[in-house]
Amino acid sequence: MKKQNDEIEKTLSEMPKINDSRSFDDYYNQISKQVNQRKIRKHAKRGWIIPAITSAAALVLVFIIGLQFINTNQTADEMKTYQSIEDSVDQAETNESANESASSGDAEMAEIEEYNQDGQGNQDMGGASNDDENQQFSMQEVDANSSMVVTQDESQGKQFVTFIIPDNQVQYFAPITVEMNDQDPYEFFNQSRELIMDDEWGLSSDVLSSITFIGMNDQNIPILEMDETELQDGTAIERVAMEVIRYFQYLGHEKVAVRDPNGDPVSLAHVGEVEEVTFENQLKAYKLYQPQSDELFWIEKVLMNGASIEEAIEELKVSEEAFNIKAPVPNNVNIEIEGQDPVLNIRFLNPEQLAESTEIPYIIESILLTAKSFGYEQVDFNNLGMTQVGPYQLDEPVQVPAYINPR
Amino acid sequence: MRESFQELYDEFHQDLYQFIFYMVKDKPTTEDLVQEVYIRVLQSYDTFAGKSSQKTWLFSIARHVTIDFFRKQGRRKKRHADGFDFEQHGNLLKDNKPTPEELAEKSEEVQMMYQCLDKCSNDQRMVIILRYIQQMSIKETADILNWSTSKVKTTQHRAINALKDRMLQRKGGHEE
Repeated sequence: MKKQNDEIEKTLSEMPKINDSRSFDDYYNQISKQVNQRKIRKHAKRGWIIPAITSAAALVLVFIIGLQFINTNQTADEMKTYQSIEDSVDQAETNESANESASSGDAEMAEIEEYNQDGQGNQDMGGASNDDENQQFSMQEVDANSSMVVTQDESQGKQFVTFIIPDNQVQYFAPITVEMNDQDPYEFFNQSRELIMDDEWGLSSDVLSSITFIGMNDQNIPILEMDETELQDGTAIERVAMEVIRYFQYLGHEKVAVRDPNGDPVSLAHVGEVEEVTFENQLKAYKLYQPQSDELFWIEKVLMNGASIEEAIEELKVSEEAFNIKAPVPNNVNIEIEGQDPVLNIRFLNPEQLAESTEIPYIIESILLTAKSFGYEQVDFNNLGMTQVGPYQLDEPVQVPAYINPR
Repeated sequence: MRESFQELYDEFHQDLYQFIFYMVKDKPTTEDLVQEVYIRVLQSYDTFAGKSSQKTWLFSIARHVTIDFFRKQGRRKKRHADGFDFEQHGNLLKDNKPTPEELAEKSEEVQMMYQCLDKCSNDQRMVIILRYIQQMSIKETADILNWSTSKVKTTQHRAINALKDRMLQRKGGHEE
């Protein structure tokens, strides 16, 4: 047996070196051309900013001038009346907002203080006992107490949409949730490129400028127009295009129809001709993406088909420093899992390790989000040694979040 | 940019090309994917934090690009499979990629091994390529794949067993 294995290994080491016939210059020319094209597109995409700022400034000016014009036409009596009404309204608003901020501020302060007390103590203990740098976060820069999801309760009565945007190295995708105010969620897709702040958020939304929602077909399937000439740079850009259109999956659609600007099927170099894209349910693990010290997002790692929830939870312990991806669950936390659809039972086997962790809100949310991708509706956290973390009441099963990364 | 690219190219190109080639076994596709790796690397060169070695970073990106490619291929095959009569035309789906000329002068054993690599899972193939063809250490392999060293060892062990079974089958004439 050992001999046979040695023979296999020997044969493998004799596999030939494969030579590349292309020269350095060939590659360089191709690559610099493509890098420049992508840069040009990025700059072109930013072209809306200056006109938008100019228009906004013009509107503000018109508004101010208009107000003065109205005021100068008031009589002194009318002005006095308006003034007194305004004063009383102002006063009422000030009192109300003072009360509100006092009460919400008190509650918030109490909560933060409670967390900080725990967090500070734990951080100190963690610093003494946990040497694994990979598991450390810049906690002083990112408020660990702030939830990075929208809970089911918080989502009641509101309308949200979720954009799927790749990170700036185009390795992973961050779902970004935006609350809407009476807009049409379908038309809203076309505004997405104006909402995503690529540089600040460490994301790359360039591809959105190549995709436009143009309406619904007679089967109530969204039709998207794709500028295929913008999607020819390789497999990555095609993959990005296929992911960003999952915006419509979040709106409840199982598929979208796609066409090029001439109304023909979209022709992609690696995928071929496409007329319709059907969304597959993906199993995902959710990790932390910190492109800059003050920005933190949940990012999706798509798992292989057939992955188990146990494997997914283990994946939550893996950092990828090269891509600014951090593991939300420390490596030394042992978790036992028992899934009874629709509730996932999580049991922490070494809560003493957990008590030293400053990352408990991340642990909770990463497990909730990962469980959701496996179809669970609730997660029962056991043996955690605490009953409340951030917005989560842990002495009863916690509902999986409704939305992710609100901005 | 030329300087950064020259540096990467001089140091890693051959290994990078070989890694991707043994994954996809097609030179034009390899060239496309190598190019894509360089583009991604150069676009994010400024953000490379240096927390891993350049080699680990480059190969991690190569791994992602290759996996993306396989995912795409999977979707494409699935779409083409709709309405396709496998009973009647299944043989048409056999891999007809040309074997590289570098293989011709190698022993029959090595040529057989080249074919058998296809029967490994993608994970197993990556480990085999990095460990035996690229001669990387277990630690380097683990860093590139972002796995633990024990996962690398287990996957390597399973891959060797799978290749051994497949080679024995071939030699015994049991190949389907």
